[in-house]
Amino acid sequence: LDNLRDIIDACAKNNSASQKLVYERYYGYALKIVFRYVYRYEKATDVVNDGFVKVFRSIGRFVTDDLEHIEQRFMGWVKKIMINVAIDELRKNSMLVEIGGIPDHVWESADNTLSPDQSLLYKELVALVKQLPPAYRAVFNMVVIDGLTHHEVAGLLNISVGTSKSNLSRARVLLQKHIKDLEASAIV
Amino acid sequence: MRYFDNDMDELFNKAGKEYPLNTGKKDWSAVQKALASEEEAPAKAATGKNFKRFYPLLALLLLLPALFYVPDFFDENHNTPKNNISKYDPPKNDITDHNVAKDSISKQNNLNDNITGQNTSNPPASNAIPGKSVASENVTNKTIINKNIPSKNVTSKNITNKNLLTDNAAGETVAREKNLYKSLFLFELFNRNFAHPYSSVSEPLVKNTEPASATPPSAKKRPNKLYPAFYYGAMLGPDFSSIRSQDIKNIGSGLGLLLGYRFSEHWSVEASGYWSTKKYYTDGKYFNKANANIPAYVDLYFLDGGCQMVEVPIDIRYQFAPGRNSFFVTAGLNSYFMKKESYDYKAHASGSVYEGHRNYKNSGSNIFSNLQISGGYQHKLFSKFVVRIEPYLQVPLGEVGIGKMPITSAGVHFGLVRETK
Repeated sequence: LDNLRDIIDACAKNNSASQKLVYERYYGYALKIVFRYVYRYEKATDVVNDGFVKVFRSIGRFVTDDLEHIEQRFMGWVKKIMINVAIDELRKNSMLVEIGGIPDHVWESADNTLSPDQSLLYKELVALVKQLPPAYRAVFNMVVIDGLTHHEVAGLLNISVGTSKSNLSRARVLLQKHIKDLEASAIV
Repeated sequence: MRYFDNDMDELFNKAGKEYPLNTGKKDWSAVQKALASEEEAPAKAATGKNFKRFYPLLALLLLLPALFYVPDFFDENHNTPKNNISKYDPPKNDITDHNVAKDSISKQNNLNDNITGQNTSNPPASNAIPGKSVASENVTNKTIINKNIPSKNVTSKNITNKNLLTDNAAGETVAREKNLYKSLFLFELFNRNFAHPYSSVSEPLVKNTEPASATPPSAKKRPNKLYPAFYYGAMLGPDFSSIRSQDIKNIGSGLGLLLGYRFSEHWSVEASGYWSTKKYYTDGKYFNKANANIPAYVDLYFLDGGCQMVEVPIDIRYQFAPGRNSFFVTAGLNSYFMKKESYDYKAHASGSVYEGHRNYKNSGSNIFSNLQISGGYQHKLFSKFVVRIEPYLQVPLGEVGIGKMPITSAGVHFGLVRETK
């Protein structure tokens, strides 16, 4: 990916090799975004694939003059598409709560840059976020992790800014409660 | 984990981006396949999804035109000479009745005159129909046309004249007759007061011996004035209810009685009373717990249930072109009197998720809480009965029920109405 601009241009011309290159490079990044929104891992992988189809269909519209930071810009653009497809998936299920554990194989990562403690901690935190009701989970992910404003969230979820703020606040309360429960169980 | 409280957001932000995840399940072939084969599939799928809930209504609306073609088995007041004429044994090959499409017939007349030079006067007196209710001008035209059509009753003179026709002229005549049939048939579709050109009603085509001013007895019979008049009836149908455009998971129903008063040719007012069962699903955030005996600390994820109520809509109705088949629109206000509400719900409280069920009886009345608009089609049966198909939409003007929810409903009412006049 030395010259991302050229690769993006080739993708826009439906060059399959370039598209595969982009897919391979950003798949993990996209899955980590989508899996925070979509409860089931298998469903999340499908949603990511749908997201990449959208990315390649509209990649011609990705324009930036900032070639120095083109990768950051591109990743930001991909992130927006992945959030959109994830929200669409939640809507398809009417934001229904899904029950059931997350299998261990989901958390196995080939990336060893994290210490085991950090890895465990991050995994637990993401698992807590995934246990939130979908409406709260979506707002928490968008605002706290993906950095969207409440106005953007309101537009994406078709809710009011007030509802977005209220959902975030409730999500925080629920997370604090869960964390305290975890602490209590660890002490016992 | 104690330090989470201080800087929880930052920690979650980092965790959300760096958490360990198995990213080995790449499936490039699936993406490639989708890219190759589904250029427009997502857009189509999205559109299809939005319209799915309207498919039943759409199907009903598409069926409406079929009712135009129902035979007139029940029509007692068909004001045509049909009844008089049917007493006679018609020749098989003649052109049917018709004081319609005069222009077409006149042209035919001219053509025949030019080709055959047939004298059109003095038709056989034995074929005259006493009391025939058509104008003499029209009958004259028919007589001329008849001469070009093979018939059992043709005289030797007619046959001779026919033999003089060239093949081309005969072909043209037949073609024109076919066009005439077509124009008569199309005219018939839009004006049911004329006899059907393909029906068994046909007549010997002779000159009427009565003066042209003779009026058919049926034409003298004027229909009764339709207003002012009361009408009453029964309606029933399915009901699709939703709260803030959320999914419809179950179908309700409505059964009711209506009373109407027609005060002009087009306008009437109606009041109805329905026993309705509405079923709906809602996210917990749209359900107001304040009156529902659910503690504030309980987070409702969703509720699935419905209500039974008495609905009282009061509508004003406009009927387009009153007649045997007609369309109408109504608009009005609807009041709800809740009799029973019943909900299954899933909730979260004190760190645990649980499911529950609640019933509420007589949870209140909501006067004029909905705007109701509808439109439909009606068909008259016999002289006083009317069948209706009436798709409707109820738009909430306020929040109803124990949970103060805005219920939007749509459906179709099928009804039978009797007119008192």
